[in-house]
Amino acid sequence: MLAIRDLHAGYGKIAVLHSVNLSVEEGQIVTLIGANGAGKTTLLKAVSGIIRPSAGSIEVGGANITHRPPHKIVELGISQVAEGRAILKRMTVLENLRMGAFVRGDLDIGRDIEEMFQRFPALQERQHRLAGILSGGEQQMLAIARALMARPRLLLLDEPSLGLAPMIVTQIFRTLRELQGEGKTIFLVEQNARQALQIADQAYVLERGRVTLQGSGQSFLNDPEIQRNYLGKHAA
Amino acid sequence: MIYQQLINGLMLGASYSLVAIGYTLIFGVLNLLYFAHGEVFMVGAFIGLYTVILAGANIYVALAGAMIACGALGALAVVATVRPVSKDHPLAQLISSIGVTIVLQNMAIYIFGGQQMAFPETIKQELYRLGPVIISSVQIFILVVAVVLMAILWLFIERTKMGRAIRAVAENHETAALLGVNVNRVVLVTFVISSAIAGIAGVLDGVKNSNVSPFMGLEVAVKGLVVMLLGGLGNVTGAMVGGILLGMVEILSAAYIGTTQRDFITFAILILILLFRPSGLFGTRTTEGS
Repeated sequence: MLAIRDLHAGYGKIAVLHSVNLSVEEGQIVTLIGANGAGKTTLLKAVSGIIRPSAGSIEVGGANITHRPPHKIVELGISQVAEGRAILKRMTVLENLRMGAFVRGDLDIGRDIEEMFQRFPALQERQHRLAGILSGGEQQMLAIARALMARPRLLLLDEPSLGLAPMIVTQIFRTLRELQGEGKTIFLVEQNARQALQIADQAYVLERGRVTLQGSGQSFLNDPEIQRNYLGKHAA
Repeated sequence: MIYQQLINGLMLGASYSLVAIGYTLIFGVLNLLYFAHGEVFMVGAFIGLYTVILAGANIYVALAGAMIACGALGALAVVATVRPVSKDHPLAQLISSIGVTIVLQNMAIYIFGGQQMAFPETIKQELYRLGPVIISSVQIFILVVAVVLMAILWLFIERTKMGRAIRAVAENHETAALLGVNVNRVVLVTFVISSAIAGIAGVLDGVKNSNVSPFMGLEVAVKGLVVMLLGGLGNVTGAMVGGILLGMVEILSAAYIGTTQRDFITFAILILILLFRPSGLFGTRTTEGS
């Protein structure tokens, strides 16, 4: 579904990604783990068209999207839940959800909003409140619900567990599994490696702008090097 | 007497509001103080004037003409003077907009001459007495147009898909883009709407004062800026209310303190706001960047 080949990208003259190769198969959860500053967010920004890669290609379902503007990429069915949740704080919860469906022209938007309320009941209670006053966990659920409102084929998530209580993190990862069950393809960037690897079909390690390891989620969990470098803090 | 002054303040304030709304919308989506906005107002007044003189048109045609022409001017300004200028240098777009100000004003002087021109009577002048207040047909017309325009705009911003997109872009460009909003198009639409409103405000000002001049834009640009700061940067409702407030304050201070002190009081308010309430009276805007 997503194929990234020999991707180079960065900000102005600062190169962050050096020849990244990575692919995400349809229906899978693929995770990319790596330390702070490895280039994980930069990679997602390149996929979403926020930054323009300096070389290489990004293909989605066979279509080359490397130099398309962000709104065209969303139209192709790729939604991103950005780092830090990026909800629209000065809009209500309901307005945020409507914004999620911005690229859609159909009349089922109201029904999809109801569906989101069933999935995340906390959002329904607060639908007319400004999104800025929600708790961190609620904001993350809103961010995911809003991304789903575009009915994406591929969902990109940038550290959805960041700064959230363990119980809520577990809930979010459970939601991602459910979404996979409903046929979504998920590309998950995480520092919370253990939980990400537990739900991942495929996993990649990004180090200083290069993919240094790849394998199945399960094999990563058993890999001594991964355990030492990425699971150390959580190892029993 | 005080009621009469309040009506006059409302009249003055309504035109400040219309200009400040445009300032605020543009500031919202681009973080840009679009200094040329006052000159768009002036161009609108002249287009209204010439529509009335040359085409023998009525005031409605003049308003529509100014609205369309200034909307087109707004689109041209984006394509020619905003998009090509680098966003990496915070002052570049501001300086570009000052350039537009100079060009528009000098073109107006060249085409129309450097003097005031009389704006013919387009609305039959009649006076109505409402209790203690005397209000003219011209005043009623201006007020109705301004209020209707603001109501439509408020509904547009709050209730339509494009209005939501404008608010999303004002809050964060990247977030809006990731939701599928074409940010460049939203900026263009915002300029067109803001400029069209400024054009209408210019015609209304010509009708109210019975004259127009190539220099009428500067004062309005500065007053619009005060209103925008008063209402809170990027806050459309704040701009509407702030404009009315400033109009009231100016008229009341002119009436009870003295006309020469009017601008002194306006700018004293500006300084007090900057000192004590930099986010404006109704300000909610946070400085998260774009």
